[in-house]
Amino acid sequence: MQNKYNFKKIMEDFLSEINKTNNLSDLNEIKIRYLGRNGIINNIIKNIKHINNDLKREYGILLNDLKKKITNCIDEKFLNFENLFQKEEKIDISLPGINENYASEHIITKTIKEIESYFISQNFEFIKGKELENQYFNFDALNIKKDHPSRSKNETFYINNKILLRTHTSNMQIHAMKKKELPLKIISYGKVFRRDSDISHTPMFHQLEGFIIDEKITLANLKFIILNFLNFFFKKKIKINMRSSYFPFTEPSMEVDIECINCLGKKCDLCKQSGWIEILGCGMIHPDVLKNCNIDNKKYKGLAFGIGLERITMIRYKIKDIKLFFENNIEFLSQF
Amino acid sequence: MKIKINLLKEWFEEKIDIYEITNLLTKYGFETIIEDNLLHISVPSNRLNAENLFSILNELKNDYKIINKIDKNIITEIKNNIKVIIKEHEYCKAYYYITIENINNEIKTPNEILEHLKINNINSNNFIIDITNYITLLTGQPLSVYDKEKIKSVIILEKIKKNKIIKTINNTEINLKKNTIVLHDKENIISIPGIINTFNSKVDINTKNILIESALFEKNLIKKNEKIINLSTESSNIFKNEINFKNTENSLIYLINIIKKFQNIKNSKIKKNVYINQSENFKFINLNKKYFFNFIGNNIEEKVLDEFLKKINIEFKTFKNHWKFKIPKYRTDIKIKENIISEIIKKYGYNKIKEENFIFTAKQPNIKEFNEKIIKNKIINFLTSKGFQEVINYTFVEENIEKIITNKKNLIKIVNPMSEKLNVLRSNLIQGLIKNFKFNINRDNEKVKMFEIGYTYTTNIKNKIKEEERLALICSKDLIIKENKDYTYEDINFYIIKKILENIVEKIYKEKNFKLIKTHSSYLNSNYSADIILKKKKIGEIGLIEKEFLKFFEIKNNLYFLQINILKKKEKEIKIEEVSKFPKIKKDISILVEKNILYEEIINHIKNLKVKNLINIEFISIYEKENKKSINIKLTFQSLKKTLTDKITNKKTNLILEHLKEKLNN
Repeated sequence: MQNKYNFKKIMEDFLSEINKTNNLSDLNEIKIRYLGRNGIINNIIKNIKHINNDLKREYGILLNDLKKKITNCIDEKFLNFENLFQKEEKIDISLPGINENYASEHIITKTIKEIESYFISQNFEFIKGKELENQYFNFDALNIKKDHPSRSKNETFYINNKILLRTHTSNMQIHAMKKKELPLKIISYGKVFRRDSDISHTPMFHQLEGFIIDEKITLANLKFIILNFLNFFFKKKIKINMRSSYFPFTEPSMEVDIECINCLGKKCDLCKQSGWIEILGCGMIHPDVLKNCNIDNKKYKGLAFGIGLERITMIRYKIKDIKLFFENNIEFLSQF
Repeated sequence: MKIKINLLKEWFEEKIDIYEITNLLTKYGFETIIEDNLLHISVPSNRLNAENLFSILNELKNDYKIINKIDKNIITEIKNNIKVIIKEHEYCKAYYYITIENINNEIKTPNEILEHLKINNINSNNFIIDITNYITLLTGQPLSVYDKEKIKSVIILEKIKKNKIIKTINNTEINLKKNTIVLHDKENIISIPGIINTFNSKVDINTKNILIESALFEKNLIKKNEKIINLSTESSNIFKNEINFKNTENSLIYLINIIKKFQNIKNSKIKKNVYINQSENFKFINLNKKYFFNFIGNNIEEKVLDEFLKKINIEFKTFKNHWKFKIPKYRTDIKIKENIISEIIKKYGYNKIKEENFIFTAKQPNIKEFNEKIIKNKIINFLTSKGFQEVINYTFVEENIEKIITNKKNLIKIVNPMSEKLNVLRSNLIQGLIKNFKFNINRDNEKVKMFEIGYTYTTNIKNKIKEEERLALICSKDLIIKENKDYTYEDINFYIIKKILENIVEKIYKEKNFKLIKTHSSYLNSNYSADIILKKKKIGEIGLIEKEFLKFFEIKNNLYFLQINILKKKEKEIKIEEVSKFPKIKKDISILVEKNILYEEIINHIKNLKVKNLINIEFISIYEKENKKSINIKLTFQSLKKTLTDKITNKKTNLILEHLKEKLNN
């Protein structure tokens, strides 16, 4: 039998070469030379295609055997290098890690989640909000009269005569009262829109609204909820000032201030020399609003509160410009 | 309203602490701040007629001693010889006037008066007009000044019998229709009551003798006339909010008191035509005591409460089980019991209310909302761990760019946008993300990967607005791993973003059969992009953003984009597949096909064979050359019941290869 290919020699050459290698790149080069697409083994395979069956079969077996031995040898050598590397190579462990940094959710999303989880733990039910609303749900049903300044084209964004971008999350009170069974204990949050723009106002911002409707709801209950929420959010017993205010959909209406976080009540520019910072609005739901939703306002009473989420976030982190939330500067957002 | 602190102090008998006043007014609902020696007092929108000093002082009168500066003893030296006839007294409940002779209207208005006008944005005119405006700011009662010499013998309030043209004091001509109610003298119309005077009885610096009117014109008269003459003024705006009748006469007395401080004048008595039906001027509201205590949820001792009831400035009578309140007409903010409760607690102090817990029955959580939140949270956690920063953009975007994105004429426009850059509702999240990218690049924040979850809006065929919640992400090429030997293409970033898509759809949405199909898009590069199809519906798109589109934003970078609808669905029941104890056998196969054959075609052919025990088909690598491509695939075989032999798996592998040969003609 004429042995055109000296498989034994090929193996010997290979072994001598591989024993000389002492680095990964040389080893790789050998691997490509013997096992690569255009390597020694593959070239032989291509060439024996054209010979007769018997010899071809014999070569085939020998070739397979060779390939197996070479492959195993190379694999073992790779493993050896790896072990060596791990035992001897000294690496600078203080170098930074590779690949992605963990980014973060938007600070408003984070604040919403935190507040939401608090209220869920207090047994509030969450309902999703609608950004586009009609005049009835956003104004009329909430006892806001047709000539109220907030309805003007200077203050509210309109799509047409009926549809507008909602100006507060209170529209969800009406949706809930009309669809769900009493008693109700609900929170909702989302984007709201007002035609306003300065250092503390943007045309779009976020609000969170909560309300309870039941037979024996009192003003003292409202105060309880507000106090406990604020103590939770600021992680300490917080001093509050509750004072009279006006909203068409609550009566009585109140605004709640917390002690200025900057001067701790001693008066400064941040709190406009008052020692207090306004943080949220609340009140007892106006009986006409209940009536508009066919709820017997003699039997049921309601309480409601609304929080400006950008505002409460700005207070907590002492952020001065509200536009930072929507510029989406990575340097700002990644700090949270 | 604004007032100089020094001016305010003059109204208090004792020395006052301005901070205390500020806090008290704020407590009562009148938000007050101190700025530059001025007190800025905001009046809530249900108390617009309290925007004057007298109303503010009224709020404080039970906490401080307020000086009464109105000296009713004014000397009357001249006669009222102008008769007043109010023919329409449902529209005018009271009409008072006083006349002044020998006034020097040339003198400069005193500084304290000018200052007060200026800080309240009222322009200066001449001495008498300035003083009357000053009085109105203080009392809330609008006053009207006429040149007495120009008024012929009588003042009548009645409907005109035919159309007439008049000239206002601003020299504007107005057409008055017949039956318009006006004030006129024997010959001419002297004013549109409560709104504006006419030119003929105008007062200037040369006027010596004047007539000043103080009247209660009804809201509906004012509104009617405003509509007819298409004009509203400072004065008419005040009338529309109801006036405290107590000030109507007092304003004229106080006016004389003030003028006499600066010059010697001769004045008449005050002429009165009053038609007030006392019963109309009040309404009664009963408040049940038990209702009150149940409402606030605290028990307050009645003795204590009484003290605060007296402070609310509303007359009341105490009965065994209730209180009866007499509400004057001008307190339009008090209509129901709750308004009275608000007045009482305001004075008592919300800070004194003791908080009380309450029992509420537990409710079944809303499963649908719950599941949706789980999906959104998973997406957020997944993307943030891959280095994508969440951003939030405005819902409104630039029309000019939106026109290219939707290609539709049915853009949802905002009727009254704040700017041209924010004048339509977004139909796609891409605009906001590209702008965020640009903003960050301009500040050398180059390593930018961002995502947003938010609503987009489109109109359907019936022109109804559809709201869709979507996720979109954007990523620049430079952030993706540059080299990969398993794919033959130079730019493999498309597949990196595709992996993110696969993870979201398959692992988070738990949907197995989504497809990508190439499509034309106005903002994605047609070679490197596709629509995402699930259950025969388009749910999103993926790809390289078209360079031409990025020119609008002056961006040259290569940006990748993925957008997908947030699926609203129940969390699927997971069907667990049994995991075999027996070993796996893996076979590599290599397939050479024409370039135009897609990978998924090959996979589908293999799948269609339904080879038993073939548990996985894994893509290994692709190599393209000329018009052919070579794809390497790893087949994994495993049985639940026994160890498979090489012989069996080889047979199955060959079966697959033969099948592919047949189908792909290779």
